[in-house]
Amino acid sequence: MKIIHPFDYECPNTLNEALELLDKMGKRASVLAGGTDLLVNMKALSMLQLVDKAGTDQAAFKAARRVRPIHTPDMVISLANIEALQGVKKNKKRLFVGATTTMTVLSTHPEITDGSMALKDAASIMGSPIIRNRATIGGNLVSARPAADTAVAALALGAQVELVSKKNRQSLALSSFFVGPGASKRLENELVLGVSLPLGSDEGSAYVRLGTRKQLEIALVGAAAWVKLEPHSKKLVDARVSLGAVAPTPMLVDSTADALIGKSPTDAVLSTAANVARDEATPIDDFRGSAEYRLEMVAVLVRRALKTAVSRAKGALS
Amino acid sequence: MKYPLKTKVNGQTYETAVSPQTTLAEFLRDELGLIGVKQGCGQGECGACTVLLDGKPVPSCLILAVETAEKEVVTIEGVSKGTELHPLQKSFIEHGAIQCGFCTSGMILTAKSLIESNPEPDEQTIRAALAGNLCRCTGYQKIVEAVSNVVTDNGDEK
Repeated sequence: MKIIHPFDYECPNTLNEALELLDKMGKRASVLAGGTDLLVNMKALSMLQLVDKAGTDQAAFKAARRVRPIHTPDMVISLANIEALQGVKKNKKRLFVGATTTMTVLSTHPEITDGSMALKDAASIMGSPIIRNRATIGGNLVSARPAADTAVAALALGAQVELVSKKNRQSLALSSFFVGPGASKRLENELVLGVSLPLGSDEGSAYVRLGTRKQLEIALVGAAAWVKLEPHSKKLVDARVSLGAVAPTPMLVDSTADALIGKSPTDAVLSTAANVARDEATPIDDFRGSAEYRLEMVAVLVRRALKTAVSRAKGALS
Repeated sequence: MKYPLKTKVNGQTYETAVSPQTTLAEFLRDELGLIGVKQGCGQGECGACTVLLDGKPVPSCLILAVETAEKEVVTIEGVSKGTELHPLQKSFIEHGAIQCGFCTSGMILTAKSLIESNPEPDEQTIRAALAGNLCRCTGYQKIVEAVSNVVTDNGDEK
């Protein structure tokens, strides 16, 4: 597998230079962060040609192609030197994660605790240790895959995605960012600056993933939960549950909040909420698993994610 | 069109020019003759192409060579000192952790990075760190034992 399509390579040193290039080129340019998604998409053209030559099962290959995009950009714009996109910043109210922050950095970051732990869980399990040294949160989000680990986690954490272009800046709720499999609201001249999460007290979160392997795997089902507890009664004052790989996009399950808020986080309450989440999921049958199995597993994973989130929130209280 | 590239590989600085389409794996193998860097899946899913980039294990098949400007790359060829094997290499041999050898470059580089930051990893930690390096021959047990029992230069057996 090689990259056979020629392209110009640019490595701008500032955000403004990058935005200028992107504004000029639009979708004729691909943005390069970690490259663990983009390069596979760029190599896909050579795979296509190999298959055509070999005359292998065309129908099966065409079906696979719908899942894996083929990128043949005229220009690749590397974000490697742009400091504005790097790093994790925190103030009292919000946590900001720069778009080119790698999974490895996220998975061990000391500023990500308690209420934001789901993001750490997701970053720790994505890809493999080797991939994580390159893969970035910005890349994971713009891939807009229904199973994207950090996307599912960030959804439950109430994230905003910060976007910037040459002339404009906007902040979108992550819950409205994903439009379909592989499609997001990022405009072709926009870069993701990063994601920001609200921070509060007495909160806990978790992300869990089911797959046939523990690593180098895409979720059969992913589930993230975030809870906020009242410090004295330990009742749930707020909650969010999100799911991956069981809908065309990562999805926030609004109805689970109703099943949780105002209640004590007992096993029975968490199980009921998990069933509510299961009833909202719309998985398909695919080569990883059946829709029926996925639905059952939604309930299991949401229960587990909620349980861990609650126990982390309780830990945060003391 | 070729782009100038200045990079350091196994301690040696190279000033050359590459086509932007060239991956780091291709550059190391085809331009520098470092065929200890293996190409497996070409998609970052097997770990055979693992090299160290500024000390961290990365999938060289998914990195453009031009992206390594002003950085340091270490391949398996840079692990031994001439003919003097690194303790990890000796441990792999002694523990029977090499069969066909195709995963070995990647395994040793990832393990090297692990023990440099965590000199006494337990089995769970070793398995987690090597999770991105697949082996079709050994079933991993002897690889884990090799990493776990590596005798370091000051003679301490772990």
